[in-house]
Amino acid sequence: MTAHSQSRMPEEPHDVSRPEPHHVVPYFTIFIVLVVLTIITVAVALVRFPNEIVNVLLALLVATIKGCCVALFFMHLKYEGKLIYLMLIVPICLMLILVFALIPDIVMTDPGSSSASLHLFNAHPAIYNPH
Amino acid sequence: MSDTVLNHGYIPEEHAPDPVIGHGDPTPPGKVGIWLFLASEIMFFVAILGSYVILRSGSHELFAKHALALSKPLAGINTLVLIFSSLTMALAVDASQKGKRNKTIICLFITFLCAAGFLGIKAIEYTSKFKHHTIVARESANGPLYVYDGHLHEEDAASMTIEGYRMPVPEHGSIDIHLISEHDVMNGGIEPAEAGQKSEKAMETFTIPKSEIAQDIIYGPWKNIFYADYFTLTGIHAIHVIGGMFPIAFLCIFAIRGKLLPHHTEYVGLYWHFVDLVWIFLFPLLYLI
Repeated sequence: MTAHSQSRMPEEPHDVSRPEPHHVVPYFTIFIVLVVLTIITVAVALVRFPNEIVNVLLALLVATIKGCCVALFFMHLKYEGKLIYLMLIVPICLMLILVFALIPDIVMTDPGSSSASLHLFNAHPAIYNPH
Repeated sequence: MSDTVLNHGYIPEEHAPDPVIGHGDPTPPGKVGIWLFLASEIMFFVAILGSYVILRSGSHELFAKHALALSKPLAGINTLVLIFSSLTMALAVDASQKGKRNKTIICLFITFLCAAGFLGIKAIEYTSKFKHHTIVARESANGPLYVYDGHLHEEDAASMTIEGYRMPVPEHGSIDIHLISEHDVMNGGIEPAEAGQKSEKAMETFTIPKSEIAQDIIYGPWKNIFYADYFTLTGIHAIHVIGGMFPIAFLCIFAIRGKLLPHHTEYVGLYWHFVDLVWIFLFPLLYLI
């Protein structure tokens, strides 16, 4: 603390602006929850439901729960004021718009063209003349 | 002036009005800044994840069969390492705010080690991909043409030794080494008679003369769009991890010198948790589904 800054803030003792943790955050509990959810993610992926969409949605659901745990507790979002939430609403809205804008591309993919492009034996025949 | 900023993170009065909306504590401008940065980061990652979704929906089989070749155990360990580093970072922020110097130093140091460990495991994964070849070659001059797929074992001037699988080049049509996967070669290499007996073929070691190689490609980003996506997403995430290691190291050095920076530790912590959050989504998207 220099004399200069003291003269600028005569009313402020040194530790006033030190951010005091107002809430007891259960960090270890959240860590255990995250580890358990990671194990669940892997287990769900290994079990594999016959419907592929169920697999994808389950994996994304568990990932979203984990992400919410990290954001709410590790990033203290649960204890933040409205300003931070206001700043987060904008990218989240844009994210949802982007995701919904992608749905036509996913749903309207021509199944014939996708399987044809994946067919293993459809490339150029130069491979037969190595020399 | 700079000393004040370092000590307090922000100057509470006279210079800038407190950005308060409604009730509650004033939000420091530094925190507003880091959250705005994170908001832009969300948009950045959503954009590249969007391109991943589009490419995946168009080439579902390609993505599914190539994702099988990624190492799930390594990625799983990396997830746990990153979650643990997030825990130690949160504890470091807490300790720093309570003025506990030793605990801050230890927690920041463990976070730094976890970041380094994450990158080390990532490096093992990348090295394995860059050693993974798909080769079309003859075993000897005028011999039959084979497709080999496996990891490079040894290489000298005249030949390459590959540990993996091989299958004969199909008699009809042609093949594209960009699209072919390790599992294709493994299943294609099983003779019809033995196909019923065992579903998985053991790896073999093949020595291929270099003069007989027709085509050779490694599992780099140029292999196909799955690997382009894999390297883009994990590479950008790894750059974020590297970017986070510098401020963590600086905070640790400052704490060792006796200067706790609670505000700055909190901002670095927010960034670090965000990097963890991105990996939480990348792990199932790339490795598991």
